[in-house]
This record gives sequence, structure tokens and C-alpha cells, in this order.
Amino acid sequence: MLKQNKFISIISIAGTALAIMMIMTLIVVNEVKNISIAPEDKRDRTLYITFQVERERVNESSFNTRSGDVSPNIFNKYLSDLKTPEYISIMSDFNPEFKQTVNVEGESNYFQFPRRIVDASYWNIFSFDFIDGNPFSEEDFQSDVRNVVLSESIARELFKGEKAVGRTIQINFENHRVTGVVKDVSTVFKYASGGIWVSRRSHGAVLLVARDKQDFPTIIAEVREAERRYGIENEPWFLYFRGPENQKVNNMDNMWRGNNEEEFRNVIKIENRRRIFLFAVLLIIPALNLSGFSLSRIKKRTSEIGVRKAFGAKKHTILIQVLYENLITSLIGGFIGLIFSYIAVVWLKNWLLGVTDSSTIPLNAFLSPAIFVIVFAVCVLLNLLSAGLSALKASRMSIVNSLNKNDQL
Amino acid sequence: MIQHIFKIIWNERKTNVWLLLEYIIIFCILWFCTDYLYTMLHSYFSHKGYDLKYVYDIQMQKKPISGDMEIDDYALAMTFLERINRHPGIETVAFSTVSVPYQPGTWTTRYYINGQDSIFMNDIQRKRVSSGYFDVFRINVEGDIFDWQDYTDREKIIITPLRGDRFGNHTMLFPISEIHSLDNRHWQSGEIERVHQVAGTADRIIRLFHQPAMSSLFEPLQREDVNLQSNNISVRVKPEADKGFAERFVREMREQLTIEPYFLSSVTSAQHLQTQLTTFYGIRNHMNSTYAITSFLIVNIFLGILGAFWFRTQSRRSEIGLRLALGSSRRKVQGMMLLETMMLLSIASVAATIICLHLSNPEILRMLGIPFVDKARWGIGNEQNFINFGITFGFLALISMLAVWHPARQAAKIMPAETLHEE
Repeated sequence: MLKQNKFISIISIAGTALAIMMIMTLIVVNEVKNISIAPEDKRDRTLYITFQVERERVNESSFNTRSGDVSPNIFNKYLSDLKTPEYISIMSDFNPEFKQTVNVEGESNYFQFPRRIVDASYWNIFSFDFIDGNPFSEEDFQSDVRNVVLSESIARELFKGEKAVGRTIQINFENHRVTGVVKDVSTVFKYASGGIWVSRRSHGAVLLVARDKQDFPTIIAEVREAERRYGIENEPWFLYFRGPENQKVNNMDNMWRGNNEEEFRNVIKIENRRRIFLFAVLLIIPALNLSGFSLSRIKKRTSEIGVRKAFGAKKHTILIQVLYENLITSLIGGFIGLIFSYIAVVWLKNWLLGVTDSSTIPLNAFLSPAIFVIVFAVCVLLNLLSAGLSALKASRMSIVNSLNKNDQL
Repeated sequence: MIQHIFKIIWNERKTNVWLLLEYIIIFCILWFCTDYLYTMLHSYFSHKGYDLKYVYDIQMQKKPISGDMEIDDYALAMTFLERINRHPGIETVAFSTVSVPYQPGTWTTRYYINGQDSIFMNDIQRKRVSSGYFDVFRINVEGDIFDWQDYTDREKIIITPLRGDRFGNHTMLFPISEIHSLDNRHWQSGEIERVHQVAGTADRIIRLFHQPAMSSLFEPLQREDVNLQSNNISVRVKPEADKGFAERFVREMREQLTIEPYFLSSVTSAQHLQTQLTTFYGIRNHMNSTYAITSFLIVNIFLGILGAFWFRTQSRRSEIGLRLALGSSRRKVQGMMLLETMMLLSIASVAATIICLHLSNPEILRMLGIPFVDKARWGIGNEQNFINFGITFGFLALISMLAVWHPARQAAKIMPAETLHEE
């Protein structure tokens, strides 16, 4: 069947592959960002608060506003003692390009490394692979000595293969004791990635890990209660914690807007609308194209369909036959498209995943069953959109007309 | 000839209606792609009012201080200035707070103009800078630049009006001589009213290319606000020193710029920082997505047209054979097929243009949260419609010709008898 008209088959397969590639690239990226794998293996039961807004009404239309990531004071007073979450942690942002001056104590060989500031509870949330030593404990965190955990590559560079645990390094000329060394973490992991993890209270993002997903509404209610408490204690100022959002929402684009719940919900709405629009464009335009091909293909086979009908084929037999034949093209295209989408994600990871060059992408995310189910579903959908019309027409042709090739297509 | 082609188009109207519809849809899609890309790239490449080439950001940090060490920040900054100016690669140095176009954060203030308290606004970006700022960022100033260290220049300011003589969201009342502002920086201590004298004007400034231009008010950085760690330190380097400047500078100046308790932390290109900032706001991502989707649509359109015409020309082999048998030359037959395609495209383009002109509603794009929809903001007028039409039509004509030319040639190569035989 495919060999009947090679040129058109190639074009249809290419068209399908292209459409599937675009759609699957989006889905694979989404999967990599959302799947729960080590070290971020509790993503499915984590809630994120990445922004706080403090406001005071000046008059009808204007506010005094102070906003930014969650401040340590607010965290200590209003979030650190929430009841329901299993773990609560506040951590600074990690920007691999924003580097600090680092040297081994007593040496004047200066390095530039990026850091993340975290608390002790941080180490419960993620599963790190410790090569040597341990994370710092709550007592270490409370003590006057500053502790750090190093990534394997940074420890190697600083200590040239000597044992790092127990030694002291200086970060911006301040002493820090190394308590552990972990395997390097890919920057795909927005919160687990780091180079040097420093124990200190910082402003940043708050992660609330629930024991179970079902606790989410309770946790959100507790956060709203904390906001109310702030409002009472700080009249006339009031507070809004953006979110708390789940993993999916937290990873959407343009999530840095919205000064209250209403505005923020609206941002999410717009973002969802945009995604639907994008998927529609990626599906409908190629479907229009491909339906042109399948119409012409059916046109050529009018007489064949006539013969089949003359020998007793029913309407739905013809319908299913055309759809089924077309599905083969779609699946071949889908398979090629999926492979290309993997290539695209690996090749364009800087843009698509926002990771730095040296980082690897966890391969498990590529092979998750969800992806194969989705790719099959998209193929079937594209097939229905592109061959549905021609199949319907083919099945409705009258025998005499089609045998005469006096077609109505 | 043309009449004849019209006749053919009319006779084949059943298939041609489909083709016309396809053309109209494709034309509209391409029109919007062109329109959007043009607006986006126009804003990307337009003059921002400053120049970041050869500009670097110098980050100083503070060592932990033991005991009660007295720090005279202003004196330390002067030492810093003196030492950094000795470096051969440095052209100018500027200190500023929340004023550089490559860092997040702006500071807006409420103000009124020429003592008219009826005009009270809060859409002005306030920037505190040292005198070198205008040199470092190559900002064109008409009038005097204040001497930031001179106490008598304390209330002198430079303002940047927008297009159409607007300042803030108000049409300018020339001459603006005085601006009253409410200094709300120390929000705990309330607002202090200050009266500034306008000493000069500068070109409008677009902080980040996807954002609208906002009026700015530049005022001298005060001595008490000088701080090596919290100020932004921007330097313009000599073009010949640009290559490998950051690493070289850190290596050569680390010791000299250790001005206790401050030390040199990093040197980064301002352009790089600005790119990072726009990446953070998702704009780079958005631009890349736009390119990807446009390319996707173009490839699809190309495949679609190729397939449609291939079939059409192939199924008309018998007609071509007949024409050849009746004495038409191969060239003429090919020419006719091409001309017929162009006629179809022209008819479709007229219809599509009418649709596009009525459909271009920015509200739809805004509903989808897509930036760059407000064209007027970048000074793009109706002339863009001509550009859109030209590019769209030219592109579709080109790929249609490609799609028709090859099968037409193949069909014309075949012996007339053979094609007639197929009937």
C-alpha cells in the first residue's frame, strides 16, 4: 500500500513525523520536568511557595508593595511550623553562573564556584548519592560552625583527590567545614542541583513535602491561615504566598506574575490556554495537510473500493480499512517523530530544559510508559483528523459511481 | 491567454475551490507569522537608548568583619576608583543603584511636573547614578551632566522623554524645568518631597527589549549611598582590551582591589547578564518557540502545497498530452501551468488579505499571554501590512512554482500518444 505511490507516502510520513516530533518534544520536556526520579523523587507530593507579596493599601487604586522570594523572617514565623507537611525546607536559588570566591583554608589558590544555601531539612527532601561523609544535621545547622556539602567535581578540584570531609574551606573568606561529598547533580533538577550546599538560613523557595498527595488541600489551608495570622499581627500590611503550587504548575512558564490569588489563577489560566492553542496548531495544521493527501489517495482507489463494495463489503468495513491503512503511515511517522523528539530534547536541552551544557538528562524520563501511551494516542488522533474525512467519503460512495470512477470526491 | 486560463480555472472549479481554500488558510497563517516575527525582531533590534557592548559588571563582596571595624564606604570607593582607573583596559567607571539595564529591579516614584500638583503620576523609573554612567552606557545627553560628587548639583536631574514628547504617561509641558518627587526609598520613614531641576534630557531608554519604554529620571548618587558591595559597578573597557577581559582583569586586579573588608568577586559581561535576565523572564524561550513553530508551519505548508500540486498536475497528464498532440510546445505548456497556479494564488491572496486585515485583533493574542502584541509601542504602523503581503505572497509564489514546475516538466516529457492512451 505504501509502495503504491512512494512520493506521497514519503511526504505523508514526513508530515506526520514532523507533527509528532513537535508535540512529543513538548511532552518529553514536560515529563522530564515533572517525573519523580532521584534525587527529586518526592516531586509528586511536594508543594512549592516561590514568592511572597506584602502589601499595604494606600488608596483606592494603589498599594505599597514589597515582594520577592520568601524571606527568612517570614519563613521562621509563619511557615516553619506548619503541622501537616512531613518536611518543610527553605532554600536559595541556584544559578550556576553566579559564582563565589572559594579557597581551601590556608591556601591562596582562589576558585569560583556556584552555591546553594539550604537548611538541614533540605537533605530529607531529596535523595542524594553521598560518596563520603554525611549531610549536616539540624544540630549542625543550629551551631555557630558553618557546614557545607560539596559536589564530587568541586571536591576533586579543590582538594586534588585528597579526602575532603572534615577539612575547612573558605567561601568569600568565611570558614566552612566540609561534612559530605555527593555525586554531581544535573541542573535539570531545579531544586536538588547545586555545587556547594551551604548550611544557613536563606531567602528563597519553600518546599512543603506532604506525606500523601491527599494532604495538599489541608496544607494549602494551613498556609492561608498563616497569611491571616500575618494580617492580624502586621496591620495594615497583609501577605500573600504565591501558590502553594504543585510540581506541574511550578514548572510552567511565566509563573512569576500575580500579586494575589486571583491574579495568579489568571496567569495559570492564560498559560493553560496558550498550551491548548499550541497543541491545536501543532495538530490541526499538519492534519489539514495530510487530509489533502489521503483524499487524493482515496480518489485514485475509487474503483478498488467499488469492487470491494460490489462483493459485499459493508460501509464500516471500508471506513475501518481506510483508517487502518492510514494508521500504519501515522505510526511509522510517529515512531520516527518520537526518535527525533528525543534528539531535539538532548540537542536543545539548554533552551528546552534550561540546563547547562555539562548536565545530563535522566534517561528514565524518556522511557516512561506515559510517553509511549501519549505518542500512540497522538498518532490515533492525528490519523482520525487527517483520514477521517476521506474514509467517511470512501465508505459512502455508491457502487456504480465508484466503479465508473465517476466519483463525487 | 489569460482569458483562456480563467476558463480552465472555471472549468476545474470543483478541485480549484479546495485549492483556493487551502491557499487562503495558508496565506492567513503565513501572514500572521510574518507579522509577529516582524514585530518581535523589530523590537529586538531597535535602538534601546544605550549601548552594552564593551560594558562589564564588577561585583565586589564583603568579608565577614570582626569586632566593630569602622568603615568609610565613600573613602573606600574612592580608593577603588583610583586603582581601577589605573588599569590600562578601563575607559570609564560608573556607580549606580537599581539603574542598570542588565539587572532585575527598578524603582518607581510618584512625582509632579513644574509645581502643578494636579498632575500626579507614578510611572517613572528613578535612577541614582554617578556622572560616569552616561559615558559607560553611551547615553546621549542634551544639556549638562551633573557632577555627582558636588553637593550643589544634588537636585540636578536628567530626564528621558518618550516618543511624541511624552514624559511618563503625560504629554510634555515644555519646558520641564522642575520635577517634584516623593522620595519613598526609606519606606519606614515615610515620603520626603524633593524638588529637582532638569539639567538635561536623554534619549528614551528601553530597559529590556520586550518591555515598553518608560521615562526615567537620573539623579546624582549621594555620598551616603555609595557602597562597593550594594552599588552596581559598571565599566566600559577599551575595544582592544575586550578579548578575554573578565579573566585577565580578575587575575591582574585581585590583590589591588582587595580593599578591606571588600574584595573582587566577579567580572561579567553586561550583555551576557542582560541575556540571562531576558531568559529568566521567559522571553528567549518565547522567541525560540516562535522560530520553531514558524519553521514547523513553513515546512508543513511546503509539503502541503507540494503534495496538492503534484496530484493535480499528475492527474492532468492527459490534458497535457492532448495539448502537446495539438501542437503546443513543452515550454508553453509548462508556462501555462505555472501561470495558472499564480492566478489561483493571486485570487486567494486578495481574499486572504481582506480576512487578515479584519482579523488582526491583538486581544486574542493577549488572551493567550503572548508578548509583543502592541505594535504601536514600537512605532510600527500600517506600512507593516505591505511588508506582510510582500513576504507572504513572495514565499507562497516561490514554493508553488517549485511544486508545479517539476511534475509539469515530467508530464510534458512524456510522449503525447502515451498519455492519451491512458484515458
